[in-house]
This record gives sequence, C-alpha cells and structure tokens, in this order.
Amino acid sequence: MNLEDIKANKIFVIITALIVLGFSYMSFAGIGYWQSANVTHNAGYHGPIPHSGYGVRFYHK
Amino acid sequence: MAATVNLAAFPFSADVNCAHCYKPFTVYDPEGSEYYVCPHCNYYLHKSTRGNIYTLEKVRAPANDPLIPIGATGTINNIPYKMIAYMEKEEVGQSFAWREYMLYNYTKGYAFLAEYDGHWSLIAGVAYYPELANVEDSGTTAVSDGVEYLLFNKYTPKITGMSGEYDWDAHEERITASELINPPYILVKEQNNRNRSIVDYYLGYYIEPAEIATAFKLELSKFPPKIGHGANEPSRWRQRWPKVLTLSGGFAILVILIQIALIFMKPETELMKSHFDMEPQLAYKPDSVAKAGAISMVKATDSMTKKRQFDSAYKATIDSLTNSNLASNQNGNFEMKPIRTKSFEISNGPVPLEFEIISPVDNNWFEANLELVNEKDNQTWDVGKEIDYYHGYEDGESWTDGSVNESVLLSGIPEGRYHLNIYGYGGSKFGNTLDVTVSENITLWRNVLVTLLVLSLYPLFCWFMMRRFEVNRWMNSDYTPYAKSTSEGDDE
Repeated sequence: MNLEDIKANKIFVIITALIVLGFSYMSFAGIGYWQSANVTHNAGYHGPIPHSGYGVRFYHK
Repeated sequence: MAATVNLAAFPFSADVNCAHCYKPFTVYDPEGSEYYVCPHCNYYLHKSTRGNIYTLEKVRAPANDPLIPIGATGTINNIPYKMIAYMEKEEVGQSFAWREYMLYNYTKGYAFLAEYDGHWSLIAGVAYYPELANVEDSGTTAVSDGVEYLLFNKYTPKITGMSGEYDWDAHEERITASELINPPYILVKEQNNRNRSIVDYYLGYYIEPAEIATAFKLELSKFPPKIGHGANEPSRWRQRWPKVLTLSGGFAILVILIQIALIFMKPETELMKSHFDMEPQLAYKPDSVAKAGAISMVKATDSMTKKRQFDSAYKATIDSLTNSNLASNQNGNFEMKPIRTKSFEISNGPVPLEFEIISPVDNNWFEANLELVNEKDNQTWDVGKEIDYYHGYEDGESWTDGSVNESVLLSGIPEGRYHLNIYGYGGSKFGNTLDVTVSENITLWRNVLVTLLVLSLYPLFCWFMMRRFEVNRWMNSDYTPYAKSTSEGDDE
C-alpha cells in the first residue's frame, strides 16, 4: 500500500475516513449507534421537582 | 505457432508471383517466410530452399477480413510489429472459434494477437520470454518464472481460414494446445501431435482493444464487442481487493486504537449504587377507612372501653384492608411503591449511562420502569426493563429461562444532576428487592462493532464480486476449481 494506491482509491478512502471520523465523534460524545429499546426522551420544563410521596407517582413537573 | 529470428528481413518486403494464378503479391518477410497464401487465388504456396515457389493446395480464405490489415505496422510496449498473417481457427469437435493475427518483429520474431469473443491476448514465444525455456509442467498446473498457472482449457485447433505468410507449414501443423492461466497472463502449451516430444510454450497477456486500435491506428468501433469474461481477463475486483482489504484493515485498527484511547481518557465510573426493598402499592389509604369503620364498631360508653374497642377494631380492619387493598389487576400483577433514588452528578458529559438492575426473582418476574430525571431542566429519559427468571425440572432435565439482572444503556446524556424514579411491578406482593447501579462512560462496544461491520462491507462486496467474476470465468472451463453450478444461470 502506498500513496498511489490511496490516490487510486480516493473515494473509498474518503468515505472510509468519514466513517471513522463519525465513529470518533460518536464515541467521544458518548453517543451509541443505538441505546436500550423504547427509550422515551422528554425535553422537560423548568419547574419545581416535587418530593416523592406515599402512594403517588413522582411527577417531575 | 513457431518463432523465428530474422534480423535482416523486417525492414524489407518483396513481391512474388503466385505459382498458380501468376499474379504478384507482397511478402513482408521474404527471407524468413517459406509458406504463403496467395491473396488472389487462395492457393497455399511453398518456397523451396532454392527459392522456387510451388503450389501445394487451395486453402479456405478467412470468412472475415482481418481487423488488422496484412502489412499494417504498429508498436505495442515499445516493440514494433508488422502484421503478416491471419488465421481463423476453431476447436475440433466444438463450435468455439477464434482469430489469430500473426505479428512480426525483426529482432524477436513472431508474436500473436489472439481474439476470442472480443477478448484479446498478445502471445509470444521464448524469443520474447526466455523463462519459457524452463517451464515446470505438471499437466493441470505449470510454473514459469515463479508464477503458477492453472489449466483452463485443452483442445485441438483447426484452421478454418488463413491468409498471409509463414515460416513453417502452418496448414499442416497438428497440435494439441493447453491453456493455463494466471490472469492477466496465459501460458499456452503446444504439443506436436506427430511428435509428442516437441512441446513449445508461449506466454501471453490480456490486452485491451483500445491499445491495439491505438497501436495499429484502427477504429475502435470496428472491434468486436466483449462477450462474457475472457480466460485471462483481469478482474478489476481482484486488483482492487488486496488494496481495499489493506486500507480497510488499517482503518479498522485505527478504530480499535481510538476506542482503546477512549477507555483510558474517559474511564468507566460508578455514579450510584443502591438497594431498594420494593413494597406493594396501595390503591387507597386504608388508615382513614379503618378509622371510620372502627369508630362505627365502638359501642362502649366509658372512655377506656371505647379506646380498647377502637384499637381492636382498627387493627382488625386495617390488616384486612391492607391485604385486600393492594394495587393489583385481575391477573395478580402488583404495582410497587415508586422510588426516587438519591441524586448523582454527571460532570463531564455527554456520556453514555448504563443502569444495571438486579432483582432476585425466583420463578417470577419484576418489571422496572426507570425514569432518569435531570434536576435542572426536568428532561427525562424513560425506559422499561423486565426481569424474569424461571427454572424447573422436566423430562429428566433441569431448565432455566431468563435472568435476575438486566442492563439499560442510554447514550448522549448531558452533564448535570440527575436522579432516577423507579416504578416497579411484580408478579408477587412481597419480597421484591431491586439493586440499581448507575455507571457513566460505558464502553460502547456496539459502536466499535457497527463501525467495523460498516468498514467490512466494501471489502466483502469486492470479495463477492471477485469470486463471482472468477466463477463466471471458469464456467467456460472443464477444469474449474469452483463447484459446477447446478443451474445454468446461477452465478455461484
């Protein structure tokens, strides 16, 4: 493998390098290709967080 | 085929008269050529050692005019050639037909351009390739100059049309030819049928029509189209495969190195670990109901007796209510009291988080709905996991199903202060416990695996195409190293 081979396969090299860059970004950002199934993300709002109580759910808004 | 070296002949040509029709025609190697085909009457002529020309027999003219005209000159790989003869051949007993253009170089002798189904090879003998003097031939394989060739075809050729001039009796030659390949090269073995000890080897390489057209100044559009794969046609996938494999391998190693570096730079850390006894949820508060019921049951008037009667009635009522009042559906699934864990801090986000939950169920199940709450902005991530573990003994064998622990992975969780709300459901009222461990910077091996998988796609595609090309190539051979397909159109 030399520079000529890399030039001859530059599209493949570029795409592969982008894949590796994407992997690096995701790994450093702590992003998985997928996480546990059925995760629901709620954006939330700024408000008080009530304490838990007996027999009631912990509503967080 | 036969090779010759005639240093003096190439630059010159001479006109000779046909011994049959007496018409003149040009001979391009007057010193070397001993057999001619008269272009006017198609009689096969022989020049004696004294220079006299005799008629031998009439031969069949080629069915088609040669693509490269006789007398045309061209240079291929810096070797100048003159086209001096053309033969149309076919395999005895078969319908395979091909064409051979005999080229002459005055220092090296004959070379041949062979064309079959639009695929061309430039083939020459030992004068061009001295290593052909030392071919190690085992029949199905041959090694020349350290290169191994595999037997591709074996046949007896027959001339069906000829023109031009020859330095040997091409018309009467009887040979058995073997073609061994190592694309783009082809090793041709010719064994004389009249004297089996006479064996000549020729080496050829695949040549593109465009190169021939350029060399002989021909119109490329007149060249026959390629059909299928040539015996020694190079596979672009085979050429690409080792480079793609090396590049992909290099990138794969890079991915692994990045991941290893990440493990050291952002080590896995435990943020929280707690044990919870999960109590069953009650549908309503039994206390007030029990009090009301107990009061109605008190009949005494004196305060001491009233107190005693109330306590007794209250205790009996609340025990009864608590047991009957557990929040359960008709299937006996019990809701547990929700739990809020202590808070934990993610200080260097975003990070992947993993919750490991353990509940020692025994032939039972426990489901935990986990809600990760950001205490600053109330963002939540909800996910449910069911733990079930069953075991038994049936038909002489013990069995188990499920597990008492599960894990949940959330990715890209920003930094901040968090807690977990846990909503539990169980198959039994009591005895449910839950151990929860929260860890950050979990190694995302799934990212590594997915990336490696993606990186391997193109090399796999190249390998598949390379193999398909080879299988198709060898479909034309009786000596294929690949298993013969059971159906005609099957590539594999």
